[in-house]
Amino acid sequence: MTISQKHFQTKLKQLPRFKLSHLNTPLEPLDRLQKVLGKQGISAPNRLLVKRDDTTGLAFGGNKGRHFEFEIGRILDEGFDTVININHYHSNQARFIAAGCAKAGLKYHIISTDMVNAPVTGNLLLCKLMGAVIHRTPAEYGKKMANRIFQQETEAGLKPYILPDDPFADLMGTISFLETGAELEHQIKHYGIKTPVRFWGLTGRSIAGLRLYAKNRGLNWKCTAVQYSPGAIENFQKITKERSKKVAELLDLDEVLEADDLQVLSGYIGSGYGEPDDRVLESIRLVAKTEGLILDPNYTGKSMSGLIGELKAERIDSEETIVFIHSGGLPQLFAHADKFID
Amino acid sequence: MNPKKIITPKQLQSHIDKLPRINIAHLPTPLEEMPRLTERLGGPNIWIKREDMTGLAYGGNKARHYEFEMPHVSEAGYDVMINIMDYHSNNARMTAAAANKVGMRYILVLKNSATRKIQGNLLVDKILGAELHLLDEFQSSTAHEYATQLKKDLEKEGHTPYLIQDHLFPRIVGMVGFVQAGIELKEQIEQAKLNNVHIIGVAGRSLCGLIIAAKAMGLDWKFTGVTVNYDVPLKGYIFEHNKDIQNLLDLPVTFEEADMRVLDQYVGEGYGLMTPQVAEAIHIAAQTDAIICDPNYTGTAMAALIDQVENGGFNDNETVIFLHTGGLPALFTFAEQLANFNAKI
Repeated sequence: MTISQKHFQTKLKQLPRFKLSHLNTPLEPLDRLQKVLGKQGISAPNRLLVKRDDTTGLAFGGNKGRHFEFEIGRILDEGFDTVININHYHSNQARFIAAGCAKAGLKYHIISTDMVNAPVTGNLLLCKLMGAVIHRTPAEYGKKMANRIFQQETEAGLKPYILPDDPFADLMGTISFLETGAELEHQIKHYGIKTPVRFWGLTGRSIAGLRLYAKNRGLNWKCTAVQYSPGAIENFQKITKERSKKVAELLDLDEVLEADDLQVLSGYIGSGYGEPDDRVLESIRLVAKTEGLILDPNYTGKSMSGLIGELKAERIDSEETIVFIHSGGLPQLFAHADKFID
Repeated sequence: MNPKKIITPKQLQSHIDKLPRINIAHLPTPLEEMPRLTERLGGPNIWIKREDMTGLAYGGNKARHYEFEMPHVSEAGYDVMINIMDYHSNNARMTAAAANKVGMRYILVLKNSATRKIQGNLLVDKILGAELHLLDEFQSSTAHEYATQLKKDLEKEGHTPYLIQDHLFPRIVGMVGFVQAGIELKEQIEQAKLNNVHIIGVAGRSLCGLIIAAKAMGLDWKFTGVTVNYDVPLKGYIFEHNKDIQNLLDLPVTFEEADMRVLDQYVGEGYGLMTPQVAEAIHIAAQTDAIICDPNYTGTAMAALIDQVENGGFNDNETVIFLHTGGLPALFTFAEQLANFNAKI
């Protein structure tokens, strides 16, 4: 039994939502990249395409422009007026919430963890411009600080919401990418692609949403998730499986994800989160030079270094069409400027 | 308005379609409301045309230009482009991205850049693999001679270089892209049922292109252009090219100086120096509708919009459309200044 597109539409319509993004995002060919890789003796897949989720249009764009339509919708629906979040210095999520809160007229506290002395630029600068109250602290004090702000704001008569405390916040990334799945199903059909399709992204909620969509629609889409920070693959698979169960319950879906539904690649993390290695920097330069397309050093650059690495190692079926998910993250390029100076 | 000179959008499109063109930009760009800024200022309804969303290497209006310029250059047999720009130029970046899209070699001569931090547009130029020549202040006064020498050297090597500043087409192509944008905008304005349209943006080629489109199609849109640079008089930069664009597109009308209300009181100390008023405007647009403006161009235009609404420069029954032309990487060149700026709001 496959689930109809209409079912997804109807179920998603039942969730509160606040418009933030410009959709659909384009699906574009990466023909020049493919050709240049070929010239370097790197066997190319059947076709290489990019899903431009960097162009959702909300404060430098990115996939989370989709996620937070549901999250901000929920926050407004439940009557909260203040949002508190804990995010790493490099976080794109921190920026999207700032943008969502600005548009919705909500107060926003961002507890920015780690790298407390790093300059205010990239995502954090954008948070500042969009009116976020910024608190910088080492990661271990993040939760404590969130609780204190919660208490202060409550005493001041506000109704604050600590984002990581809400189980829904963990699901909305996957939920919003079910819709991306529907968008892609149309676009892939429009391209006339008949070969098997593989989506290429990062270990997160977005790619899980695509696989969950495909599984319930009976589509032969495969998914590869490149790890961008250290951690056991099994943990990611376990969390993803649990999330998919909750999403399936919430939206009345037949299929859930199993551990082997996403291929996870752990060989491209480099020395850690937010630390791009030479393969990442080279991938960013190559894609920029061949396609005029910019990737970021923390996420999409790593994902691309994974794709090029796997193509080099001839571990990708040449019959497949690869759809690279450009999830955005572009402001953070400027926080890594020093790495591009020779 | 002479009714005999009015043509339909379809006819206007046919004039544009005579030029060779490739697909680089994501079009149409959205036209959206700025409800919270409108509410905050308490004046006319404010909308925004999102040219920052053209999708080419951080977006911007110039993606439209290169749809025409790239085939114009390559079909004439050139194989290298040389561009002379300032260190924080958006044009420099977008030319680099467009050149990469078609596999054109690109040499960038950047003035006043030798001692600059590699940040903002300059960083993106570098990542895009532009062949950079970073000139110091002394060399910058003779940048054109410097570029001409590069051109000669390339010719000796058997190349056919195109030095952008030696040609007329690049000076008017920006208007062509925005005649196209004007057709797009007409449709969007009709769909959103907007009346008494008044468009405000940086005084430049984009705005002139919209004026031509409006006049050709017989629309009553008004225009305000905000000056961002004292050193480039608008007369030579745009107004003197009104016949060139008319001839290129073979149009019954063109724009005149009088078609644009020019505001030059927001420049501050000069091009590339952000005034407190501009920093404040950047914060206001970001905090109301999550619209990000840049310190050189759109921030100045946004400062003008806010000041004009607050001081009666627009009628309340007008629909003000802010032309967001992009330029976003420049924000990070000004990161420190913006991070330390105490916005009053």
